[in-house]
Amino acid sequence: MIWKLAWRNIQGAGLRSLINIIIIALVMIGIIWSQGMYEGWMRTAERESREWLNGDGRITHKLYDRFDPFSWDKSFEQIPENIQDLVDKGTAVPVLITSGTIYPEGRMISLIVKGIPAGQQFLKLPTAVLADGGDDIPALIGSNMAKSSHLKEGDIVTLRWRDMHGAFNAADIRIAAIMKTPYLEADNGQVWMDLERLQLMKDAPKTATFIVIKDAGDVPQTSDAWTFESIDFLLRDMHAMMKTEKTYGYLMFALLILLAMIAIFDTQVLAVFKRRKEIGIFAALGMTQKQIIRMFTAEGMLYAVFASVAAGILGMPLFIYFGTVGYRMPESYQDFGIEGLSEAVIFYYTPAMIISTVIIVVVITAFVSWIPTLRIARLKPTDALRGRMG
Amino acid sequence: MKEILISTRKMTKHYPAGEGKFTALKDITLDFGKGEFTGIVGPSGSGKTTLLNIIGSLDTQSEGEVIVLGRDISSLTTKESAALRSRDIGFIFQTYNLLPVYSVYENVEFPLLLLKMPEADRKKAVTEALEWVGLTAKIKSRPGQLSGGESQRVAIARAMVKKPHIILADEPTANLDTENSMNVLQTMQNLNRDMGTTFIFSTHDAKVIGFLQRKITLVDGMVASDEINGAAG
Amino acid sequence: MRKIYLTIIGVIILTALFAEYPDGNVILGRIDANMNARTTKSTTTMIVQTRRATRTMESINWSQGSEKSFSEYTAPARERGTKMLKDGDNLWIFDPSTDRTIQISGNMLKQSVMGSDLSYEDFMEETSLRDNYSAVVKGELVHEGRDTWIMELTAKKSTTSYQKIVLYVDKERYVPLYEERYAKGGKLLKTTRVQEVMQSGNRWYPQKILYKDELKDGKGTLFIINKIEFDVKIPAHIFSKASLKK
Repeated sequence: MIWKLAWRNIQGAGLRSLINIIIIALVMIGIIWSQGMYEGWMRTAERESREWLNGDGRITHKLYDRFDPFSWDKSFEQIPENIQDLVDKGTAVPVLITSGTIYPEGRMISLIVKGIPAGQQFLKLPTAVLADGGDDIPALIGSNMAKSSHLKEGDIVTLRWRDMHGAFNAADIRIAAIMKTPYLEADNGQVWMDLERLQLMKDAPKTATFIVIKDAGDVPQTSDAWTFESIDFLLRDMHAMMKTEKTYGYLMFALLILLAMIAIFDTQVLAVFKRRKEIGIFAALGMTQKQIIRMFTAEGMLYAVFASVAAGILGMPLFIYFGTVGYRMPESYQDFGIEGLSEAVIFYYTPAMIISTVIIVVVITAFVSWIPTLRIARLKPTDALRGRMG
Repeated sequence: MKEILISTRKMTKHYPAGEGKFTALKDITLDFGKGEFTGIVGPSGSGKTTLLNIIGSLDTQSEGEVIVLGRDISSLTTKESAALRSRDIGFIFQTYNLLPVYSVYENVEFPLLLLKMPEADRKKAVTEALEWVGLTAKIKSRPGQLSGGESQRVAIARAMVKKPHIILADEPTANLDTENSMNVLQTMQNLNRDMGTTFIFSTHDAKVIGFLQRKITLVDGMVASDEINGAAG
Repeated sequence: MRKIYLTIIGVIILTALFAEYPDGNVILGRIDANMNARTTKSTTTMIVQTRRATRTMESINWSQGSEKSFSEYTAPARERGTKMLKDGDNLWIFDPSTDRTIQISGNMLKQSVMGSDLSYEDFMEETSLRDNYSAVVKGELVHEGRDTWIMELTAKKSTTSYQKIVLYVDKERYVPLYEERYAKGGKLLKTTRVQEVMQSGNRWYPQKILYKDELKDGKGTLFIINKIEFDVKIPAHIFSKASLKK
């Protein structure tokens, strides 16, 4: 009965109800949309990370710290035999890392030199171009690196590095290809070359800094020098960043919800004030105060319920568009070096995110509609009928 | 002797007014029997509306005793008084007090929803009530689309649809012209006659006086006279 | 058969010629003795000539062997008060604008010092040639008016940064007037050119040196010693971290 009456009141309020419903619906669409974006972004970044560099995790030298180039001089060792078996089978890819300096057109650029077998198959890096021998050393760089270093395909540039003993060495490398990779960790500030050649250059044959594993299920036991890093571990920075991003997102939507709720609250306060005579009539006709309060609260909740439906209908084309076509960040954003943003982010929605959004909005709306009705409890029916507040 | 539905004993009502208090009703002792068609007359501010509100349990007396349908009004909880109003008492107001966002049908249906009457019974009762007041054609209209006379007839239909024991009408004709006043009074009289519903009015409208069976005159919150009008009896 | 004879004779003649040259390692020892003092105190000017601009920096420097050194920049105004302390393998820099002392380590060692052609790493290099290289005199040459020996230095250990160095050494004064540092693979990486030499007591010392990173564009970095004193007494507190903040 309460719901029926509440529904009638909402219908009766016409345009005002519609505006409230649309505001809440827009907030809900916004929340689900942005959650879908974060979820999609995370999944995109994770997929890219797997496809381009991290596979299903990797076995990394214990001393390797990707932020400390000094550690790179110590963090490599001969690839253990049982892992070499995986490499031979094609289910693991060893990578050797060292620091170097290139001098394109007389400028000096410090970079990371990465060695990877030219013949590897399972990472998306187009390493086949590294196999081509000749006099100079074929190298592969990403498009971001090409942009920042002004290198073009076919350019020959001097690379200076230290071998594993510490002696300087220098040789010319040829940019064999510039690859477009969405995974910036395989692009920014680095150059790829064939693993065996880099091992030779370092005077460190058969070594690697880490070995990318295709299937975390068959990671063999290794010596203490190595440690297995799962994909989750490798993505921890990104997860952390995503968490911060999400928190900002939530903060923004908390603000939007607040605004929407102020609209509801205002409507309700106004309603209780403007409809005090009505409240008197309800009382005279035999409604208890509790029933009246419930009815007003139900009205607020119904806004949220209808808003959910409206959000579903209005938001569906948006959700479907971003869930299939996705969203491409403007070029300028791609230079920020944020993972998962350089290809279109396909939004991803989970039932949990939709249900929780609906529940949260409905509960908050109900609460906000309930608060102003507490005044009703203080209202005497005779005063109400005369249009006075108690 | 008719069955007594309402009785008041030395009932007094004060309102706080500034430092002291204003006495709206003083020492009212009255009995109202079943099927009465009674008017309470008197000038504005004589306490007519207050008396109706207390009888209708919208308000409580300050002193004395009020028994309505065997129940002591001042001892009822808000829930019990709401139940009493929803089941046994109908109200008609000077300003009609229809719910503006509801249609005519929904306004009349409202008391039945509170009584949780099943849909089919509700429909039958609402239709019947609207036939009684002659407004079946306006079933879908909103109160804003009705004339004053029509609005008051809807209010009557709403008051009677649940077939209450008592209908309390506060200046029901004050906002109506003569023709509509007559129409409304006729309708109420028919109801009183055909269904035995007890009517208590407040009024200062001379047109109404002729319809009354009993006329109680209030002056300054006290009963000045209480006469049976034989002509209408 | 004649060919073989000729070759053998050629080798004998060449060996005889080489025999006329002094032992390279002995020369290295004399260079070390001339260039390195127990302690030095100097005021220097460093002129960095990049493609875009020229910057001049002045500093006062103290050193003790090759282990310890302390520099304080006195000009330009922007760098005044910047201090640099080297103690063994550690290098600290005090920046007066932030009032902070930072230790230069890791990747920062590869950065250039004040935009010059020298990296912090170069500052950290060991200075004793005799200890690190074995040398062969390859010939002689008149270099900018001075008679010099052409020497080829080969690193004794594989861990030495520059595995090969070529030096032109003043035959009389034992000052290396020109130096080429090579990558292991043979690529020329850096050159050092002494433009002026000065006499201090009975030793000759480079006064104006042009450092150049040969892989990089630009005219190189000019290093001028305005004044230098050898074997002066330096209080120990100069080489402490506390003196950075003074």
